[in-house]
Amino acid sequence: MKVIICGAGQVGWQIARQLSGERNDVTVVDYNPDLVRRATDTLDVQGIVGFASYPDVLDRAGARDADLLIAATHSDEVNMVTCQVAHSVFSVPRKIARLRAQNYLDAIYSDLYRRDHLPIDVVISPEKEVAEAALQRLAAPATFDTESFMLGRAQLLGMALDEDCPVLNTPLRQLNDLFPSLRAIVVGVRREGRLFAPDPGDQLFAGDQIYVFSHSEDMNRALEIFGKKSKKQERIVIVGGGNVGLGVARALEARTDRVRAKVIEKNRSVAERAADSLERTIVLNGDGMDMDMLLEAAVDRADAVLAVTDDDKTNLLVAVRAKQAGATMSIALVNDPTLAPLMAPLDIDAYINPRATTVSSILRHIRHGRVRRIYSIGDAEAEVIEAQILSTSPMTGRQIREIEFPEGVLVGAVMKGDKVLKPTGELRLEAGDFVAMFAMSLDVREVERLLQVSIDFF
Amino acid sequence: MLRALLLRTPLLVVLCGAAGLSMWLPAAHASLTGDHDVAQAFFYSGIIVVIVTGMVMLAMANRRPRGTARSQLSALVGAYLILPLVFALPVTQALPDTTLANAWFEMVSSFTTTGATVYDDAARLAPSIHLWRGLVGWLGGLFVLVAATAILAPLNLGGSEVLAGRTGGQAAGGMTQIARIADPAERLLRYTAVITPLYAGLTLALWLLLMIAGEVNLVALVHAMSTLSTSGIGMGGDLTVMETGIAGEALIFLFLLLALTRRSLAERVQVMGSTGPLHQDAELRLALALIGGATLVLFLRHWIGAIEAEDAQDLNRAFRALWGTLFTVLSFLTTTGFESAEWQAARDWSGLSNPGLILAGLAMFGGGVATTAGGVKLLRVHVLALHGQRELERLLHPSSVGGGGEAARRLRRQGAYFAWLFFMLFALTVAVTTAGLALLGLEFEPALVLTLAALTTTGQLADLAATSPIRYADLGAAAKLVLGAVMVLGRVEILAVLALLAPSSWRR
Repeated sequence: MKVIICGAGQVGWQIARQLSGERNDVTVVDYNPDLVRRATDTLDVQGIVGFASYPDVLDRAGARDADLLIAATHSDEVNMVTCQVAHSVFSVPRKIARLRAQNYLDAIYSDLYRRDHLPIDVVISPEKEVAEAALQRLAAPATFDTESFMLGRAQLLGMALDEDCPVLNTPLRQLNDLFPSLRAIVVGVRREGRLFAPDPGDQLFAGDQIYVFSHSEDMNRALEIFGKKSKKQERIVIVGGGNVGLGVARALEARTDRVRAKVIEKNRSVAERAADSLERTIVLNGDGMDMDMLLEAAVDRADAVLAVTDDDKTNLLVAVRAKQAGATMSIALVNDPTLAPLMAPLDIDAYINPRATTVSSILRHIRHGRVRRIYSIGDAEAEVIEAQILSTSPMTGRQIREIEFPEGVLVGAVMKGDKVLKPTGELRLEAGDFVAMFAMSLDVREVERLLQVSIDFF
Repeated sequence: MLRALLLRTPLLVVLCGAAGLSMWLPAAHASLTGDHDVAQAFFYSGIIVVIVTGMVMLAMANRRPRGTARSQLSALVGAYLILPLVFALPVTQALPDTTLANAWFEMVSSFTTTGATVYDDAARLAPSIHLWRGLVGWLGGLFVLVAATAILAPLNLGGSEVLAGRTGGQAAGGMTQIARIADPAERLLRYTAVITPLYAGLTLALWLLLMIAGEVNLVALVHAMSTLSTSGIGMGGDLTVMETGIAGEALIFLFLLLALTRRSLAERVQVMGSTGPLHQDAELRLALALIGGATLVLFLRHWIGAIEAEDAQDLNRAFRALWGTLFTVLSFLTTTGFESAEWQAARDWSGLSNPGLILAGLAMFGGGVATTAGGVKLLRVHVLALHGQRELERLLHPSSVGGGGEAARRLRRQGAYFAWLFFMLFALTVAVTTAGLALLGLEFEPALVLTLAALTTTGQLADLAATSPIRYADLGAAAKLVLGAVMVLGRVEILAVLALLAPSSWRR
């Protein structure tokens, strides 16, 4: 597939990395030669220096035979115009644009993005999705990673097991017998830095990080079984008042339970903007690394500290500092996935990887078949794919035990109608069902083949 | 032709001409009612003023107007110094036994919409002279409305310095792209043309409504005029002269509400930013809270008094006491100064006297900016309250950032600064004037009450705020002069006078 990515910033680069890794023909366009060089030096992509919305630049980037255009520059308006040009001049079949401004995203104006108006097939807004990811982390404080699937009826929970976990050294097969009514299944285990899909005979050990796919109603019970307690959070400190921090604070204000949030932002004008759009939340202007500032935000009594500035190191240090000052829990936003192993030694409870959320939302639209949701795990080591089974799929009408899944693939949940079921060997998959699968990166192509429609579908 | 003439002639001369023309209304009224002496006094005074003005106009016909905004400001202040003398001319003629000082005081008080009167015996004045007082008050209200939008607002005075957050007395910095700035005279003419029909129409409406309610013709007109101009000039001391009772008062109440916010006039005269729905208007909300709070406190006090007097069951009297309190509270908040006929009912009901000082406090709050009301103005009070609230927040979180948008932040910073500045000037003026009046031999309490009455342009405070009513007629000429000057200060706002006196305006 030929893909043009406009904007080689953080988001553009991450998308390029993911797509080029899947052997797509990727071209990156940016007006900053340094960013283009960074992309071409580190990835297997072509680079074009130029203004993304100019037709001649798009022409040079090969827009005439491109299958997909992703407009991810920092300007909403440039992204819109780029999509319009790609549509009107080059007839690019699929166009994805990143729009950050909430005003463009309001549901009442969604009519705007129709084919005959502003031809954008998919609108993505990374900040919004990162904010959602942060809220999910807050909702499940004992986990280091969460993502919701099946329209919110199922959750993927990432947990680090410690000595207190009551089900250590038990084969996973026995867990089913011990808790027959629990609708949860272990889909992935990371042991000594290596992620794998467990066999029924595998046991869990202290120090393992596991990914559990659970029905939303059984989430708290699942956490309990693996030795985690969930606690309600009332005082939350957010460091960083940019789009992410503001999005989280807004969502917290919209919640009905009384959450007292405070936002610390270094840049005066950004802080003012945040204060303007928030009502109850207190916005503080100052350096989040400053201990006085953290204490002014009462970080020592906070139930959770969320470090979501645009700088990874600041986030890590703020999270450590807050934890040291007495915060119950700290969450850091980390762009660089190679920093992830630092979390445990630094005593940071959870991290948010914007790449994972953004790339997930874009991948969803690139995958074949009816993929509804994709979540990328770890450093692109595995994916959880939620997709609809089409009548032409090789899985249709067969029991799960009969399907030849590759070694690194596990079914996490099946949704029939609006009921989410725990997958058992006897469960028969029908056309129209949704299935959520954990797949190691190497096996993603095989999963795609399983989901793919044959040519007679069209 | 007329427009060109008006644009070329200095504002003060035009105003004098208008004053002369307006004298023929009471003249006509007097001749119709058969009071020929009074009619002659007004008619000939009018002729004299018009002729003199016409000659001045001719003499200045070739003058090229400099037309700076500041010259309009000096004309505004000058109008308050000179016009009362012109207005007093027919009064001295029609009332041979009065002194010029008394006539001047009466007219200053009317023109500044204060409504303090030296003639407390209403019967001493002919009905036409009452009409004249009401008319001068009405013209004063119109003048203030026009001046606030056309003269003070462009100079960042009269409340707009709070909204704009820029130093008063200075027009906005010019931009090189703007080749021609509208002449202040043009602006004045345009706003006069917009505001006059609205103002006159509302007055006419109230007049008609009062007459429909069954009020005597002249009484209805005078009260309608003094309601719209918030001068509170009546045919007698309070509203007991009205025959319609509570119905008439209710109509007046309705029109008094207009003085609470500058937005009661049409949107297109709003040069000061006013956005958002009316129910979110800061001034209106503050005013309603004040009215509600003050009425409740006063009423509960009487109610408890009535319980002690074992008269709490009398619903009729309770309602009348409540109405009297509500009406008087609004009337003093808008610095009108009408006293409801039922205000005394409360006293009769509970046996407690009415605390007049609370009315002085309300008058100090004043109505909305760029309305006919005087006082500190609700907007400034609101901004000071906002600032105070924000400072309290900062005690808890010293580095917190206030929300509400760019405009709200400017209000809380520069806006609050200018509001505070004004408030301090106001307080200083009160102190200095009280001291001055005390020097002239007044007791402390009368001196304070009279100062507040003059400065907030609520002359009727003298009747109600002190323990015993103070009579303006008993004051010496010097005290009257001081009070008259303070009325002008209170009307044009001290900042405007200071801006005029600032050294930068001496340069040519």
